[in-house]
Amino acid sequence: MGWPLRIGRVNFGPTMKDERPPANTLQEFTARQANLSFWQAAGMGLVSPKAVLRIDYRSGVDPTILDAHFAWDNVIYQDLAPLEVPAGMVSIGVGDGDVEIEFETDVPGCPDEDGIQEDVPLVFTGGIVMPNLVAGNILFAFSKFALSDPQNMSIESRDSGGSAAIPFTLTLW
Amino acid sequence: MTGFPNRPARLAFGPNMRNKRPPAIADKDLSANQVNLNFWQTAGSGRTTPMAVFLYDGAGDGGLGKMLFQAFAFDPNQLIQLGDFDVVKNGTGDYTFTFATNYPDETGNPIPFVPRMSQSQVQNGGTTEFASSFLPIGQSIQVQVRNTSDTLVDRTIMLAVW
Repeated sequence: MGWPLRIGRVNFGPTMKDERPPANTLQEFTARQANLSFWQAAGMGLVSPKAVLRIDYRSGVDPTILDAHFAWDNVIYQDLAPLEVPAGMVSIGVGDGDVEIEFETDVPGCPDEDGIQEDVPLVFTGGIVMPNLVAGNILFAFSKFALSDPQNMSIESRDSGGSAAIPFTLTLW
Repeated sequence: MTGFPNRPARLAFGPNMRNKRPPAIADKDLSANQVNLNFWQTAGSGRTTPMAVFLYDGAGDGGLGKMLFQAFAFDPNQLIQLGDFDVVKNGTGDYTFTFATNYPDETGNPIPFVPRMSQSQVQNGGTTEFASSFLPIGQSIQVQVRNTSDTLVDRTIMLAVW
């Protein structure tokens, strides 16, 4: 079972061995290739962000998602429609001056290694927010990130001039 | 080249594969296209992914500091337990993360690793508190958390290291 779960090398099966030396390395998939691929995929699965979002956030305007990439939503990649909230996210809005984002508690219909579809818990551990200053803004920007629980988070993104709403890129683990 | 902590390029995964024969059954015969795509994506992601991520509570354990979460691309077997990684709390709001000089690859051979860059963020503060991760010195990355009065403060930080 993969994303949104973080799985280890053991989930990819044992270290593979060649049944016989490959006769044609262009046409035969070797144990070395399999083991390297599994090692890399498993390692990346532990450290990679689960989600990366680019959010437009300006004073007087509700935050909108400009771009979103979720590790578990990888069957087909499509650009978001305007104001679309991507699958897996419940809501994005402003509360107490912060951008508040709520994700689903699980991702439905994740296929396991046997092809059986089941709901998989969606849990975030932390995040990094990078304010993205608009061209021409010569101030510096800073941010705050906090998780109230594994699916709910609040973000502030503001500049040193006092503007309390700066677009930002959010990376979630 | 082997895997993490190396960052193997596409060539390390072997040549572009070709089908010995057209796949007869799509869900039972692995095709060259599938293998090549898998290698391409894996090699590409392997170039950009962090090597390690940490969630560290500077105020945890009665102020001694506590690692809450850690993950390493070079440890897909998850053998490094919480508490085993070398992180030192130098003082209030001042933490140093130190990597070993090498870690085993998928064959068990030790591979040198040196941290190159990092990003960090306070997870439980306000917009008046900032985490700064310093340029690596040798195997170590130092992170400090300060407020706008330039005072070091203990907070929980997220640190991603490349």
